[in-house]
Amino acid sequence: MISGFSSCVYKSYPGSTFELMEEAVSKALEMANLSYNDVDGLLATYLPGTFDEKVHLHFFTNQVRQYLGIKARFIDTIDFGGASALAMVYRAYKAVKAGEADTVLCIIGGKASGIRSKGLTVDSLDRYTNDVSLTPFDDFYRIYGDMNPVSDYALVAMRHAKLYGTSDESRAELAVKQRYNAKNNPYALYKNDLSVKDVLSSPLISEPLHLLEIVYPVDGFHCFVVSKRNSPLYKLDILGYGEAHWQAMPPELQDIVQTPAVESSREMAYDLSKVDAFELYDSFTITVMLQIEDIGLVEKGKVAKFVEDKDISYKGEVPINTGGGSLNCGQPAYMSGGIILHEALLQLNSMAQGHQVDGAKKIFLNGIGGWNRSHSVSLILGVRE
Amino acid sequence: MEQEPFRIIDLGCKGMNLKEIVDFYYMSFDKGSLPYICCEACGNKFYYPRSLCPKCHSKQLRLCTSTGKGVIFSYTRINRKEGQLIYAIIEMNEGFRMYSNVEGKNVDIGNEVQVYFSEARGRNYPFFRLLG
Repeated sequence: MISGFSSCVYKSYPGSTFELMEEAVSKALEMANLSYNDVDGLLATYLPGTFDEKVHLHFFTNQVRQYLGIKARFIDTIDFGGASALAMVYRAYKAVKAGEADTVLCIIGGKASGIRSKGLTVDSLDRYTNDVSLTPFDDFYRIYGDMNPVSDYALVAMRHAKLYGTSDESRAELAVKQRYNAKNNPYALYKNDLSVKDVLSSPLISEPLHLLEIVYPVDGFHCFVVSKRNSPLYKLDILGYGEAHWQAMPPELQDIVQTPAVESSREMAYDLSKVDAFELYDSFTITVMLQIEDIGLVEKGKVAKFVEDKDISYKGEVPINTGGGSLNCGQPAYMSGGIILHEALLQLNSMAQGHQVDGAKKIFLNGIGGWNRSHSVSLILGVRE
Repeated sequence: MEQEPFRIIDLGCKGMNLKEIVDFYYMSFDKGSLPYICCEACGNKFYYPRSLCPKCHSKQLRLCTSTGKGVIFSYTRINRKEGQLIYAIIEMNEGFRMYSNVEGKNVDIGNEVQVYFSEARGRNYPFFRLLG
């Protein structure tokens, strides 16, 4: 099913975004033992401002194909932010099963360094040009000087702390435990020792979130090749899948401490005790903690104790973010579930050098997207028995 | 400044268009009152202007004016080079919620706030300060 995959991540890539994308695609096809001529499907995610700093690319998938030289009979774009990569492989898998394509490229990433140098993120491009809107209601909230997505998740973390007593230390503990997993991961950017004190003494960006609880945006692409052809990789299957897309502005939600992962994971009704590892999207420490609750590893409000008590290392009882996650590998193009999907594929193919989960056969992934947490995709990938 | 008492403005606005709603919002801000929308069909109260109810999709909407009093639902102090500001979600006594800024010391979830209006980007907008 997933015949090849790649990760090309740089703190700052000097060349064109198209070139960086090509590097990732070529690498994934090489792993799959396939050529560009075998490709007849494309799924891509476009993140504003991250393609050579262009706000918009007209006919985006055409531009990708024009550069790479790909003729296709199946094309789509997915726009779920941090939940995109998981949705892309699912849709590619369905397309291949239905005979709509034989080999589909799933491409996600971009260059974050350009807009970063302007002090912007993909969620604040409207401060750079009037030609971008974030919601239908920008005039009624952007005047308040938010720093979304950081401030949006800060509001959630603050309320979670108030309702359930979740301390700054417990979020820091999560960051420390993820760092442990990153230490032996060749793909990690950050590997030095990290303590709770280090996290809590890093600058307070948007209270209660500290700098070391926030992902670092990098330049990079992931490519996943979904094909019906044989490949050197293990044969994987999708054992469970669920999506949920919420539509309310965060103030209009019943509460902000729940994410749509409550629904996307429930759709699968899967026994979590049969899962060997969890890869949970980690834009911020609180993002992981919300998902630990919402996918049902622990009930709402109890995640602090869960993080304190459980060994979530790749050697532990409940391995979570086994390669250190985006917090330690960087976040390509400001949002991407590519990091967690790439890590899951390393694990399932026994390729996780230095941080392999013993006997990893089934992995639960969850992606969250949108600055306001509107998208959630839950996916269980497993090695076919 | 003394707030106007709670009142409901029924514009008989079945099928009111978005521009009329937004105009009413800015007119309210200029007069020092906080508008919101009440769905006549399901009772949903919401702040972010739409021409239909996002819950039941009825177009029978009523423009209302809030007492301007509410509590902090959540907040964050944002630290920027230019200084610190408090970004918050306010839960109004009528039940709808909105983003805003809060002024004052001892800001905490559940603390009572009162709306005031101030200019931003050349227009009046609602802001909040702590009561008491």
